Amino acid sequence: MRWLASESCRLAIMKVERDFHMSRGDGEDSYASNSRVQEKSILKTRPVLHKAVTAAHALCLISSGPGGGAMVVADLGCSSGPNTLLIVSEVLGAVADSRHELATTMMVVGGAGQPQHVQIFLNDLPGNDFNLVFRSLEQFKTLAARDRREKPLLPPYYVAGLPGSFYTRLFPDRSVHLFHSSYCLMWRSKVPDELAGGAVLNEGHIYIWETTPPAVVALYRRQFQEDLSLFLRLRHTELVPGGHMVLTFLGRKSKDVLRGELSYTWGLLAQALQSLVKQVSSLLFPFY
Amino acid sequence: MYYCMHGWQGRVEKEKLDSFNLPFYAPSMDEVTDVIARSQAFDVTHIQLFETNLDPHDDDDMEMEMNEDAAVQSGVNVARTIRAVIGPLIAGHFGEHILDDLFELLANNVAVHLRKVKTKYPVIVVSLKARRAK
Repeated sequence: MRWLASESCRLAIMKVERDFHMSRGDGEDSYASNSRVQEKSILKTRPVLHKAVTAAHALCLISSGPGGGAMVVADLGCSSGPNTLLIVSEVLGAVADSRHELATTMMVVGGAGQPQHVQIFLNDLPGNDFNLVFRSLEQFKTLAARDRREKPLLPPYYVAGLPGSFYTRLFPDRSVHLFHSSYCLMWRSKVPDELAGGAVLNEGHIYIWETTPPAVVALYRRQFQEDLSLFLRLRHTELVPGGHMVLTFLGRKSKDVLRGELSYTWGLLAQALQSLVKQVSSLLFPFY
Repeated sequence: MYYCMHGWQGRVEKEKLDSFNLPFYAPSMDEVTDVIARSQAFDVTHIQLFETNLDPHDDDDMEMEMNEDAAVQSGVNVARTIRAVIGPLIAGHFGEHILDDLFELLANNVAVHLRKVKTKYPVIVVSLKARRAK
């Protein structure tokens, strides 16, 4: 029985890792063409990200000295599309500004020494359209160089793709200065085992809803707590001591978990799924 | 109206719907800070909750009622955004063939919903600093 339980749990995780990715490519239905919500949030959280980049840059300078080891930044759940590159560009721009500021305020001879090299890891699940990301990087490099003409020069940078779930180890101990993650951490590592295995039913619904029984709510909440604490533990091990992390994700304003704002959105989707079911019943029982 | 457009094609079995749940949870700020505090690994340097319109192309922050045309367009925009994110997950469980019908229905549902109430997504942003090991 135990084996069965852990097997169904493994399958549930595999399902998320296999099927959970943004729509590929850059066509009409793709994520790349439909990611404006996420873009708006990145722009709104910009000051917070810039502050963290500046702090991480300073930390890197202190620990390795100017021109020493590279500053390592990772974007977790990078997806594919304009937002992936927007983050790269925001981080590099903030490093350039921070270096420029250090050079002017501290009057460092030779302009703060050699610029810090920046290594950026773009992470997502293996199903992510990394090819689209890689193809757009070349174009990005040309544009970034052109757009920065009036501003401090971008530091030398190196971008790499890193496939894998951020609910697993991704980096060696104490090797990252800054983690960033936007619009990902509301996604769980898996559907709670009891729900996925059918031991508990959330009939006709796909998330917490006004009528959801407390047992189901508790399962969802426990999954969130387990996932987030695992995430924090993993990242703490991978961060350089004193390292930084900026996390943006969908949340809940309502105190009542049964009336969360996102419950209504997923409720509308559940409703759409239900009407596709109802047509079967109408077909089977035409006298209704 | 939907029946006229698509005929009487049932596409989702009830059992399939009952066994489908989203690997998702939208926490409150308190729930987030609770887990962070218990981890004893990070200090919160900044935390805030802001709201963004359900429709990504709606840049209007006023709480105005939507006219019908605007609501229909918003319905389409919202359905597209959601499809781009969870389309593959839905297709993996129910099959690719339901996507067009499903998201057309969702666009309708969202439009009806937005006529009644302008909906916003709460977004939490948190900035953390790793504590040094004791």
